[in-house]
Parts: sequence; C-alpha cells; structure tokens
Amino acid sequence: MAIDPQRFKAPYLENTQCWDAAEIFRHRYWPSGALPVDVLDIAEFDLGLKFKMVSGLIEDADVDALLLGDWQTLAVDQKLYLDAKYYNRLRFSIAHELGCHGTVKTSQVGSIHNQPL
Amino acid sequence: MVATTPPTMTIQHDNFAAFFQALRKDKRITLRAFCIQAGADPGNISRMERRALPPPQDREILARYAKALGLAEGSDNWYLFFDLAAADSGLIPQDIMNDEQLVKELPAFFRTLRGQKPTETELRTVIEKLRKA
Repeated sequence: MAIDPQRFKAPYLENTQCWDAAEIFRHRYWPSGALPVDVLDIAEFDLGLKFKMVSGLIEDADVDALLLGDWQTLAVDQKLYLDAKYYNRLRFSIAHELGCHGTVKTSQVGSIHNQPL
Repeated sequence: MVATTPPTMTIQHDNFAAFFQALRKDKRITLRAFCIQAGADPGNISRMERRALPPPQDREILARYAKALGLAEGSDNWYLFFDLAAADSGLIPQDIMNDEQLVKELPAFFRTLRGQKPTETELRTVIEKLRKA
C-alpha cells in the first residue's frame, strides 16, 4: 500500500477520535492493560512491522523514528536503538508511529486512499 | 528469561532468515531484546532477517544467537539452526567437517543426493556414521 507522499494529505482528527482509537488499539493489542505497554512487541508481532536501522537519523535529520512509505517498516536510529537511556524516548516515538500506522488502517482515514488525494 | 523450545517442536522454515524470524516471533523476542541478550548489532540482524546479509559462520556467535532465541543445546532446532546457517552460505556444518570418518563418506552421500546410487555397503557406512555423529 504505497502512498505518493506528494499527494498525501493528513486528515484532521478530533482529540476524542484519537482517544477512542487509542482505547480500541489498547484493548485489541494489549488487553492485559499491564504497564508499561510494550509497543515494540506490538509493532513487530501484532502489526508485523519491520525495524530498519538508519545511521544518524537523529543527529542528521532530528528524527527519532519514522514509518516508511511502505507502511511496513519503522526506521529508527541505529546508534540509539539499544541505548538504555534512550529507551523510553524510543518507546514514545514508536507509539507515535503506531498512531500514524493505525490512522492509515482505520476505515475512516483509510478510505482516503480510495479517493483522489 | 527466554523459554526454551521443546526439543520435539520444529518450526517451519525455508531458510535461515525465515527460521530465525519464526523463532523470534514464536517467543515474541523483539529485535531489541534479542540484540541486547545476544550482544548483536541490530542493523546486522535486521539485514540478516531481510536476507541482505548472510548468517554468521562463527560457531560461537551462532551459539550465542541460538541461546538468546531459547534453543536448547542438542535439540533438533539447535542443529537445524546451525545447519541452515551453513547451508545458506553453501557450507557443510562444522560439526560434520570435524568428523574425519564422516567427511570420508561424504562423496557417497553427495552421489546419493544427485540421484547416483551408492553401493549398499557405502550407504550402510554413511547411515552408521550419521547415526553415531
């Protein structure tokens, strides 16, 4: 499901829509509700996303994590991926990218792919 | 703590990368957790899983990976792990090559693989060697 970034326009979502989507996501993929939610586990094993290490992603591009255009690959910074001090920030960034992934997957927003952008 | 795969449980595979991924997925060991446990480089593991990089040939590294994936030493999956790593690089597994007697019988084994039948004596010798290996 490749999307032409030149033609992609992010949809506007109300806060309540985001919160509802997050609740649905947590119920589906982390039903135990135990904290912390292991978003790396969900990304890999429930959503089937692949991690790709990119050298200098943060230093050169100031990007912590990025969902690539194939919607199946998460690019992360190679140097900091294993850094324990960076782990919580990594989890936060991955959670953000899962939000992007979920946004595309939801029927409401997914339908934009069937329309001219 | 990684659960050890029961020796009888065999995971489906086509190649080392697929087998490696299947093991990780089966035990839900994230790429990050695996790399920390095995002392591996995530970039290399990621490339290896995408078959952009061949599996390592160093037995110590492979053993470290196998243990981090929870494989029990001496189990079917343990040997399969090493065999697939060797096969992906077009090599004969090191434990086979270390057995001089078995190496002498390999030509007969290869003939069999090519459909050229070995003599009954050759076949019995190979079977016996493989059984003892």
